Amino acid sequence: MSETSTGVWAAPAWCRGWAAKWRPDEALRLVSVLAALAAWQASGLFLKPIFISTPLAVARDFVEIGRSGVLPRAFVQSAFEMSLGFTIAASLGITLGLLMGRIALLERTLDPFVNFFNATPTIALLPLMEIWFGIGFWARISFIVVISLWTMLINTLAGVRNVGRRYAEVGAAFGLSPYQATRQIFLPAATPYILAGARLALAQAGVGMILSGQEIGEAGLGGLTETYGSYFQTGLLIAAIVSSTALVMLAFWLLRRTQARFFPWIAATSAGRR
Amino acid sequence: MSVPAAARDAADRSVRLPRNTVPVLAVLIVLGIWQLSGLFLNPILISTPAEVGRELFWLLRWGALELALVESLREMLIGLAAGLSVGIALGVLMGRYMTVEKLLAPFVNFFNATPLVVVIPLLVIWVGISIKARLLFVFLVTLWPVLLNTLAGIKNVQRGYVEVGMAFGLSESQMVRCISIPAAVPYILTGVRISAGLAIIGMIVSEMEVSFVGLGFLLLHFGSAFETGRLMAVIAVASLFGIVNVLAVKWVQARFFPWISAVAAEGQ
Amino acid sequence: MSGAVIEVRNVSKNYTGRHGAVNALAGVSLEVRAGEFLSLVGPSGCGKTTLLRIIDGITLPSGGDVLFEGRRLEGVSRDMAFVFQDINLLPWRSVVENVEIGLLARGMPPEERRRRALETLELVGLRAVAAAPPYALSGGMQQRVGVARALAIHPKVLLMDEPFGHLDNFTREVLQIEIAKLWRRLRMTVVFVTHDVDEAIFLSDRIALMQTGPGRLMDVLEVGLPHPRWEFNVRADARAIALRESIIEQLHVLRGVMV
Repeated sequence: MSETSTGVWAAPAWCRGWAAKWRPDEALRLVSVLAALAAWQASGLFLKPIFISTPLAVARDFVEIGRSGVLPRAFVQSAFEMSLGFTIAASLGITLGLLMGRIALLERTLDPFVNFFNATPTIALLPLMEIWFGIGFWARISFIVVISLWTMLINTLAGVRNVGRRYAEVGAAFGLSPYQATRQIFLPAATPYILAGARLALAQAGVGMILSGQEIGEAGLGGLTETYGSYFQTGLLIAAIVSSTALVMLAFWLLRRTQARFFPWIAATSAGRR
Repeated sequence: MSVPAAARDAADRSVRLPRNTVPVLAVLIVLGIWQLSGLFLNPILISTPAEVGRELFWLLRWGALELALVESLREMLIGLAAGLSVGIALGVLMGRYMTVEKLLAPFVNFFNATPLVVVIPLLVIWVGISIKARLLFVFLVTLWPVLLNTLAGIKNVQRGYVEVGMAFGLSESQMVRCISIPAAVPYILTGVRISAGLAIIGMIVSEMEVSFVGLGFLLLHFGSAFETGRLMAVIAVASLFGIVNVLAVKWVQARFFPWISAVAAEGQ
Repeated sequence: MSGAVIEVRNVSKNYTGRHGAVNALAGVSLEVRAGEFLSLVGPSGCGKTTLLRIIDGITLPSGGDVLFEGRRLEGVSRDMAFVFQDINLLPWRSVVENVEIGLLARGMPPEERRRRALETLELVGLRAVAAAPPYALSGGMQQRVGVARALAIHPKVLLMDEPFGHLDNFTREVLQIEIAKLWRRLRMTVVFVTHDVDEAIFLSDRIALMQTGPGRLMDVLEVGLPHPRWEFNVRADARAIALRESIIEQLHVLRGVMV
């Protein structure tokens, strides 16, 4: 409630402005990250570098593959594949979800398949994608699609079902055509669900991006981890891992920005279904 | 407000066919088309349902599937059990104690954003190509969803429930046991379902990438041999795992936590 | 029936909300006599609920203090029990387990706990549904469980926060009579928050009138009607009508209403 629990942090005058931004909990966060990094660095004194490397060594490796262009190329390739796959999955998922939500017969017809694929560990479809699309770009894209599509679809459908139908009578009462009702009522009503689903689907697309990079012809960041791992180049490997996290975090950040910019009325924390 | 299920069913039946007619028909039609497609398409592309069924039967008789299943299930369940225990425990601690949350939040966010398949090569470097690497991977992928859901559940406990605990003077440990954890069960169950789904995925991926055993190996093997019928039979088994997971969590909720759906229905 | 069991001394409460500071209570002093039924009455926002929560110790005052039997209260009192407007029965516990919650906190052994909880349920006429889940009960029954949960700890003072606020009129009248009977039978002290003037007159020995902006105590009135009141029509009683008029006058309820 309203009892403020943040204690007063007595800051010296010279850092008042700074302190206004950095509340104690943020300081705690910073301390814990720094402590972890320091412990990691110190572990280098006892452990073999092959085991976990050190932050400084990783930073050096970062600079090295950054300068040589290996990392930027892989990063861009992965980012491209992930965003293409996600865009296809999102378009398909939202369209199908809206159609299913609006057309009862379609919903009943497709329901068993949607439930089936949503429960299926879609990762198992990876070899099938290779058979269908060959070991290359399109197999990777289709794998990313097939891994993230269902979350988008299910969340769109949930939005139409849970929220849209409550407002459906308004549309009917004011004589909107089915298309107008879909466009003006159901799509906006489902938007919070779609955005929550998008966050989960982005995470899945990230997994698809890495796994397809590792398994379907060593591409992008996934391919880098596969290579560095098999040569026991731990520093480079960790640099590639951190870059993958950064790519997914960048995607999350873009989604948050999109949401804040275009849908400021939607709470940033609403949870999606999967 | 929703119409009681019994009334809805009765109304449906009076106008037309039983409720499940459409989905069942749809499944049968798709299977039929798929079967007929075998007459025109190369069997390597998509096989046929009958073929997949035959292959499934063959796999069972051959014994490879059972072996693979035993191997897969064991690592999956151990890794999942570890992930769930640690995830729920950490989630409760983080939800109840601000300091713990602040200390761990950066790492939780980092790992939750990391597509964890990326760390498999690192795990292999750490513990070698062994069941340990696979267990560790299943643990690592199952940990976060259940942790984050537990955390959300503990933090979203209805204020009224907490106040009852305060007003009647429950101790800290009673508060956690009698109020926070039970109130968070709906969230925790969702976390368990997601984590269990990821455990299946983690199991398959680690078998594909680390050591070639279990379902993951069968998938890769039949995939690279273009034995699409057998590949699809194995995919079907993997799907079965996923479906069993969803049904199991539903059953646990209905059987042991009937209040969840009762309270949800009240709130509508 | 005399001597103050609770003394509220110059209690104030400020919240820091999103829209700046809110002065919920400004210097309220009040004595609650042992064994009396005291109602806090006022429009929403007058701080009556806040005052009740401060008396129980769920909410801490910004200034002033509360004495219970002459001792300054620190934290939640073990001799007072709270009845919530929202009831807040825990859906994962059966009715009897809900009633046991306060006994649990007092470390009572399980068998004794169960016995005492069943006894208390008997008192509110709900022994038969002890094993049921709370969500299977009607609103009125749920609030009876809420009362039983509070009575089970054998409190010296019962604090009730608009306990019948969410109930329909019929159920509300039945429960008013039940509470009046319980109060007479158990001879405890009750502090009762309501915005319903008739309810306050029907139940109370004294009525404390509160007003908004900032929340403050205006007056404490003696009701002076004989008990038991369910044996005559209180609403038609001339003294009750006069009292009602003066309360409404004092609260300026009608000021600004277009006639």
